[in-house]
Amino acid sequence: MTPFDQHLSASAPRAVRAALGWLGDEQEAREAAQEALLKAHRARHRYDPARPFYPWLRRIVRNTCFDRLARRKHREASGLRDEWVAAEGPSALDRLTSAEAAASVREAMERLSEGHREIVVLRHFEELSYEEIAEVLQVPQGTVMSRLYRARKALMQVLAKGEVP
Amino acid sequence: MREERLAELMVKAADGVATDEETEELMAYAQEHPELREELAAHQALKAVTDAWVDRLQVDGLEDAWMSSSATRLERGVGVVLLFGGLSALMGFGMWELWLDPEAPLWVKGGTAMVLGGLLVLLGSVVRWKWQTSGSDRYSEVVR
Repeated sequence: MTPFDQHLSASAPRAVRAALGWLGDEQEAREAAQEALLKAHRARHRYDPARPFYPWLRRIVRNTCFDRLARRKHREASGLRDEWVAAEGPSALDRLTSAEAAASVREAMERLSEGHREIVVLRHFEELSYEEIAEVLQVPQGTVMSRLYRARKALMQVLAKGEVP
Repeated sequence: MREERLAELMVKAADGVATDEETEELMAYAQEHPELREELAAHQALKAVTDAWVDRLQVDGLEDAWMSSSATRLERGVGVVLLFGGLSALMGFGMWELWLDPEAPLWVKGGTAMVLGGLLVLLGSVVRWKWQTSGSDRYSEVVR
């Protein structure tokens, strides 16, 4: 096994977790991660071994997920979502402790801005520390916490009212 | 309290990494702002939901790895060979004995032969289907 293949193999679980954060569906996340690994494998000559591997792969995973989300949006063409937006009712906490919590979070995640979603993916799905996130996003650790807090608040607002703040 | 400090305390508390001092500071502030308690509970619930997702993914990954490990495949293979080998021997011998028995009526011999024939055709069909679909993984060249 070449060093590149070793990197690829070691990064696969993390790629699946990141894809799960972006896509919210386990099966689709596995498929997207496989697709991203395949793309990375095909583009291995473009990888610079002097630089860290995972950030390079993360970009491929992220772009693959964006492609899938764009296709999904195209397929769905609103409808169902609007009913949810109009619905007045349970608070964010009620939704998060209900049996449909996972589905609610998945829907809410899709409505977040790219920036908010990215920090949620890094913390909740890739399980990076605040320090590691700061390194990835090239911002101070305090900014990471503020962004994460705002992203969570935004998610709560979407969960409660269906509105993107 | 400064907005940045509140963000830090809320994020750490929701993630379960706040120190005792930080938790105390946040709770003291929440006395004056009771809405923060529900907000914190919601953030913690969100973390629990996404943690459960990730845990589920890891469990499924372990299950997949177990199912595709060489040892599992070997024991399944040995089990299938022994099971079908034994069944074939028993059924073949039974059929042979039945066929040679002059007292067994012809309709019993014919019916038993048809049942066995049907089983063999169905088994062959399943084996053929498994054989044809086993090489269809588009990404098999990728190291997982």
